[in-house]
Amino acid sequence: MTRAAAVVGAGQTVHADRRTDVSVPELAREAARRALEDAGIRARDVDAVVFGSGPESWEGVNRPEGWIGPALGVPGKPILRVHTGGTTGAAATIAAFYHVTSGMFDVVLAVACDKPSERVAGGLPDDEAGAGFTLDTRELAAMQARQYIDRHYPEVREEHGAMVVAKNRGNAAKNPFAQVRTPVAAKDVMASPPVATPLKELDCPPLADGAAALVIADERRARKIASRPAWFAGLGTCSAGAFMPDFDMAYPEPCVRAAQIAYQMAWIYEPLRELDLVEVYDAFSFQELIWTEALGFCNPGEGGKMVEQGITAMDGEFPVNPSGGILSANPGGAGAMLRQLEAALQVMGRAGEHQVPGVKKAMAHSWGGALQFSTVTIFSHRM
Amino acid sequence: MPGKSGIQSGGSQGVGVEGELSIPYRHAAGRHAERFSREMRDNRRIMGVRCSRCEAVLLPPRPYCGFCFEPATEWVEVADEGELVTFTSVQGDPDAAVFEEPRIRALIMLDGAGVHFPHVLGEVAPDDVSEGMRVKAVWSEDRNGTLSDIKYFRPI
Amino acid sequence: MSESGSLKPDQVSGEARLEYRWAAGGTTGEFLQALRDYRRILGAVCGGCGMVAVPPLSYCEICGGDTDELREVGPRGVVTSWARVIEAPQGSPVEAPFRYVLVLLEGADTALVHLAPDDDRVDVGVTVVPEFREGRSGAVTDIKWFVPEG
Repeated sequence: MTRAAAVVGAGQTVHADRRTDVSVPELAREAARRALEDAGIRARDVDAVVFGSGPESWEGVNRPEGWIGPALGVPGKPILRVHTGGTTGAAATIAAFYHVTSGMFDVVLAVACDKPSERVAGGLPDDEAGAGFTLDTRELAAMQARQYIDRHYPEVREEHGAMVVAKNRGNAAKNPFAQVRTPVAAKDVMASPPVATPLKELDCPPLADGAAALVIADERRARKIASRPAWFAGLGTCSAGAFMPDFDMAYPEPCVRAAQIAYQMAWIYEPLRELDLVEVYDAFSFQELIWTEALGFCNPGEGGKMVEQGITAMDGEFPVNPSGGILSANPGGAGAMLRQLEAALQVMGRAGEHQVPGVKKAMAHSWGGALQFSTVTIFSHRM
Repeated sequence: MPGKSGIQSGGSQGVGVEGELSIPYRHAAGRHAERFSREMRDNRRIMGVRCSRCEAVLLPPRPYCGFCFEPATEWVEVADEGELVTFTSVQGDPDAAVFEEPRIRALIMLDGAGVHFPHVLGEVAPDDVSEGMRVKAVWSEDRNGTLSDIKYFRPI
Repeated sequence: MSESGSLKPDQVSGEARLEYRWAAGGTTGEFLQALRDYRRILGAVCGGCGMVAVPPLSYCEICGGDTDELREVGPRGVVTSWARVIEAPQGSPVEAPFRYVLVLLEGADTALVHLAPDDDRVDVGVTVVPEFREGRSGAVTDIKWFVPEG
């Protein structure tokens, strides 16, 4: 990279089932304003904007990129809209990182917003050969979970998914922005009705209207703006094809590769020892275990043990999703940026009640599409 | 085509704008999908293509291999039976409408194929399904060139 | 929801019917309610630069600032540009021929895109007034079009 970049400000909305009081641009404006206030800069200090949002039919509103500049308070500035499925929010941050490290811009605002309560059912069909059976995300995740459990049984059982939910919902109770803040016990998860076996109702995430924003600055501006910026130390992305059943879902190659790229860039050899925590995209309970393994924090099949022994608890050796994760707040594409936002805040020491003490390096992960997009971002307290 | 639009006002609920759009679409299926569909419809055959490098037989057929990005030009017929890789018994749709009977979605490794084939299972209860079981296609009499030309896969 | 998808087999075709409902937000909501219930046109006064924008938004498209208040504008306005439409686009709210007009309403700083009859009196600099529909739903088309004054 030509020069360093860091997160110097972060903002998010409360993630709610339905925000009927604001339009899509107004929702994005809320998060952007908080990020600017957090950084202590004005809109006019922003050199460019990267905006991440889902397809139009997911939000019910056409061409959000046309509205977003003035809504974010920065009319006349360069704007780029990005979309990569569930990783959209993370992709916006990554594009902002490219903007800054390229030397083109010094201060870039990355914003991600989704309003699934206004989602238009269906949309246009995928351009896929022999279209007719496209799996929805939940069915895909269910088959992924079964493949995973079946491979590692009895080291991994359905109870381990329930333990993830109990852990993350407990963490969310300390996160004022989370959507679901009521704790549940693992036995409640096990007793919730099946929706797509082996997934039960509480193994699945809620769906929220919400937005997130990050201010990303180059080395010189970052030092001026923030006393303790969260420096980008490593970044890895991987995108595979759209034919989802082609790879091993229980140990997904795109995730493994994205992590390898990020570790190489950040000079990390022993992720579990060298990193302090991770925020993974736990759209479904079992995925937290699968990602923990694919990201190299334990061997394949040991994910169950990690949660059962409390290693991934907020006060464990290696906390996973101290914010409560996607299982506690799921604002569509903005959820991927939330993972980065939470990891960055942990490094900055400003995560609030769910701050883990002494965090120096934290990682954020996200997945999207038909498991085909993966992103990994590593933040460090030192440049 | 834009239809009518209008507002629904409701105090604390805010003002909602409602409407309906209707979008006709038509796109070229492409050479590979065209043959795949035609073989299913006219000959009850499932056709894949073989990658020129890794030799995996790819389904649905496509012009290139997603693993090694080499051209996949050789057409290969795969069996309409194979082994169950993974499955889920779905109780309702994502909008919480509950199905009368659970639908069993499955990934199947057809004999001769190198990648999984997504479909549904029939003639079997969810509790009797297990990974690795052998399944065979039950073809529809009324075929139109889509994946639903196969009604479902049943245990052998 | 995508419906009636079929393969020819060389073509995939069908029709997607999409039903939507989205939150207008407080400002746009008030604008649409005022049109429907009071036949009034509201503009937004920017707290940052003082510009009055129509239709109003909660933020200023010129400077990015917050809207301070909503203020009634018009109903009279001056045409700043127009185009004659000979063939109506699909879903057009009026039959062709008609004219698209940019109308700078009294008290506003931005022009509103709207419609006018295909009348040669509709020209740049001409004063126009809105003609409201009887059955109004809360849409900008509650104003049928703008017609020359008098």
